[in-house]
Amino acid sequence: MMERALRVEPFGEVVEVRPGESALAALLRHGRFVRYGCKHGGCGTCRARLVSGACQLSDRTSFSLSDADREAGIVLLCSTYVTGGEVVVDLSGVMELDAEEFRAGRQVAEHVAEVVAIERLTPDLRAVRFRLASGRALRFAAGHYIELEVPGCHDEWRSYSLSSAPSDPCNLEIIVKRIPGGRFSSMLDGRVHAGDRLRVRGPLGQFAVRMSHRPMVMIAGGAGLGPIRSMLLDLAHTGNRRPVTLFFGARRSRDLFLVDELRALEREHAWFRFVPALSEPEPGVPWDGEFGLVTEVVQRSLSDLRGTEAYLCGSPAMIDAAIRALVNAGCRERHIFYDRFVPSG
Amino acid sequence: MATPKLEEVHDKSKRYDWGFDYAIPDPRYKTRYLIPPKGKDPFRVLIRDYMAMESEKDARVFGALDADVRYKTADFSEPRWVEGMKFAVPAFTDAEYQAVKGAGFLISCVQNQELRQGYAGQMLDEVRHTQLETSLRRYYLKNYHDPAGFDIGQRALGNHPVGTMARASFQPFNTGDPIEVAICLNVVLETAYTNPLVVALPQVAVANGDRALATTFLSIQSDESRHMANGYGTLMCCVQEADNVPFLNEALERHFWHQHMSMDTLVGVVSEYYSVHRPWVYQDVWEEWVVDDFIGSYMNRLKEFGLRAPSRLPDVARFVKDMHHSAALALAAIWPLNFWRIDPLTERDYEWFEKAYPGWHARYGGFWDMYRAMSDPSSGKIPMQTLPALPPFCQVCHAPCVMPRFDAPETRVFEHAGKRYAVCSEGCDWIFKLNPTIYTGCANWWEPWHGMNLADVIEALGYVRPDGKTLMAQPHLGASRMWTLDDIRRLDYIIQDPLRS
Amino acid sequence: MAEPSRATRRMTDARETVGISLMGSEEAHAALALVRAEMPDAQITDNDCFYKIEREGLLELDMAKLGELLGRPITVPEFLVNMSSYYGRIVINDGILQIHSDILPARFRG
Repeated sequence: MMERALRVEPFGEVVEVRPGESALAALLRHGRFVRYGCKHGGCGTCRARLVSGACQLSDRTSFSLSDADREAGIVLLCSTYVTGGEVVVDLSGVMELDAEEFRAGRQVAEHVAEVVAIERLTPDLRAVRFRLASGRALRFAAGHYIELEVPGCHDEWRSYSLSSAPSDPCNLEIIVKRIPGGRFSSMLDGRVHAGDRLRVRGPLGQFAVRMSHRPMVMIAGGAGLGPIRSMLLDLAHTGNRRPVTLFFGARRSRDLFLVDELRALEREHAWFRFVPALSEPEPGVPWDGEFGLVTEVVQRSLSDLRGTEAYLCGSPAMIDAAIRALVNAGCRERHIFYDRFVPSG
Repeated sequence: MATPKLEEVHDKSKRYDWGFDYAIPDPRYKTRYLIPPKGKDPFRVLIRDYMAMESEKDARVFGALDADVRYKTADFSEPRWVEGMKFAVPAFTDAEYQAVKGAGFLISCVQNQELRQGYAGQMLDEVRHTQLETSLRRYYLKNYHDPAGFDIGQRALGNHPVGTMARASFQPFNTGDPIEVAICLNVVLETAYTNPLVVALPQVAVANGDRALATTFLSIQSDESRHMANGYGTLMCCVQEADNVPFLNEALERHFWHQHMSMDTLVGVVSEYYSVHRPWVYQDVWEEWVVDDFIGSYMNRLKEFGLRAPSRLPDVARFVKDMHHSAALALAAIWPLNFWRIDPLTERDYEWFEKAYPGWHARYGGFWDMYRAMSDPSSGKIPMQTLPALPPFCQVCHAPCVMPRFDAPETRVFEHAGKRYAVCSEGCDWIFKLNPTIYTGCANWWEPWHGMNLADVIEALGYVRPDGKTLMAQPHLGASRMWTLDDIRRLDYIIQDPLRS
Repeated sequence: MAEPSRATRRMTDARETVGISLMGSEEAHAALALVRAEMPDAQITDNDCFYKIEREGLLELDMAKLGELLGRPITVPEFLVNMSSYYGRIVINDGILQIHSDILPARFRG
């Protein structure tokens, strides 16, 4: 018997609602989909008709709902709070949504995750491995990211791309860069431990390998290698035949990671070529790879990129420089896909 | 009284259906797919809107053709281009007519009310398209200065190898598993391939002074959008059942390869070899419409349901570079057997081809020089005489087995149930083996003519002008110095079926 | 249509392009004017006898606004006379034509 519940007609579905949680938030948390926009009562997208039940409406809807709307019992789901018992809303004729859309949701749901391990990859990168506490799989496509709630900071979320293989959706990994003052990243050296629980949301995002026949150039810097690695593992798993060249840039050799894994992938798959590059190699440290900024290395190595697709992940500066280099070499802008990592702090 | 809302009326209209809750009818046509009763028609087609819309479309097409007649536009169309229309437009008419039957087939098979409505609209559309293309051909017949080839109607195409290719390509529209009909017709042909054909080809037509084709085809394609939506609706309906997914992938693989063999060849040939002014390179059009839009946008989003890009996509890309050069060359090589004229290429054409396809001249220039040298009847020679053997036609797609390149064909010859067959590629080989019965019933085009004099074959085909002796086909566009049956008979050329030995 | 999230400041740029091809006509020209005014990030290509309009995420044409630019009322079916092709997920309602990049999640498994 749920203390607070929301029933959505005409689908006949009932979801449990937490105290202080809006109807919209509850539905999204349960992996259901309704149309919404601003989430704070301003746009009027999440309209529904209140049929019965005890609820409170936030007064911030005063501009987006007319008197006629209110008289007709129209509410905004983002601003509706179930006070107790079951509240029934009906979307028929008010929100264009069919049963399939409602139930399939956006495959975005909230989960409790349990940290399995934290590994120091480089002086400023950490791999955080985790599982869903329920033991279930988090199905995602290579390139997706998750949002993670900063422990101890209610409703503060940070986004990180998944770096693990989609074929192993129970064992998840993200790569986190330590940012000075970063809310989450600064906790990774001592304040987050194996066994800790975190709230995560996802999978999200549209950075993904596109279906085509074209050879691919991938360019990654720092933590940007995470989603790229996920893509490579997925390509290997699904019998890829398209040629892929990965350019991975770091400053010094201690900033490199995953090199052995990628070299092994290269040995195992004829379609894959791995080109790591150091821009500030330490003198005296042996290095048999390329030298220079990763985009310089790309320009040196590839002269004709007509008919090629490019996948880029890293800092905005790296991505902007890479796009220029790629376009100059004949790659079409519409065939360049990227995920810019912008620190949130 | 305000007009009732489209959504409400559409919803209400869906309720006029049978529930079959007291008796389950036997399926009219067998299918191996589990078809859930759900489906969507995003266009919400209703007769009240359909009739008005289509009527306006026809008014505009015929209005434009009327203007073309008045302003004698055909006199300013490049003859090289209009000659290509003699075989190209009838080939597409074959597709439209087969699709009429295909849509009817689907109406009988799909129990889903919304999808059925969509297919009913499609059937009417395909009848419209058949009529529009026939009207276009009538326009050429009446207004183009050399109507020979337009004047014997669909019989011209029917007797020709391009006709066999067209029939083989479009036959899956109305035979076999009804869901595969939808995959072949609505998904592969109409979503991927009609865009380069029917939307991009008009650009070439206009560049070559032919507005009539552009008007007709752009209007035809406006109906195609609803057909694409029908395909999408059917596909989305089927992916709901996981058991359907392997069949869908196999169907996509088969039809994508086969349609590529016919459509990429046809559109590539017509747009680059039957044009004087070329606004684009075929490969770029293919990349945009087939790879970026169909594979990269449409198919890409179906990945999550388990649908995959055709595994032969890299081979398709490889073939697209060369196929149409080979096919255009093959058609020129057998020119006396055609029902249209082929204008020899000029230096200006050579320059364009070399720029678009570096290495073109080294590979193909020699043939086209020879073709030009043999274009006058006084040469007493035809290119066929220079071939060591005639190429067989692929038993699946019926393209000549010179694919992708005549100097590097990927032909396979094999025996099946005591008979020799050829296929042009690994893709067609795989398709043949999926179900040989589909393909073994059709004779190879050379078979009935084996041992006959070429002149007798041309007569039997009906490709002779009204004077009874001048060939419809000519290796030049001139009004005089035209080849006759006697010129051909003098060569004593006997057809040898390459598969018979 | 990105997932809204207050704390997310990453920019995930990816191609979820949708498109529409309009044959040259008065209605098409009015549509181009509407697109330029309301969706300036849309890309318009002139292909001599037809135009291709492409945009990330959503293409929307409101017939009331289009009618204003055209100079006479126009319904969606009347406008569709000019649409040669499209790619994306099309939604037709009274007075409005939309092409979305989201695929309809019509899965019922298990």
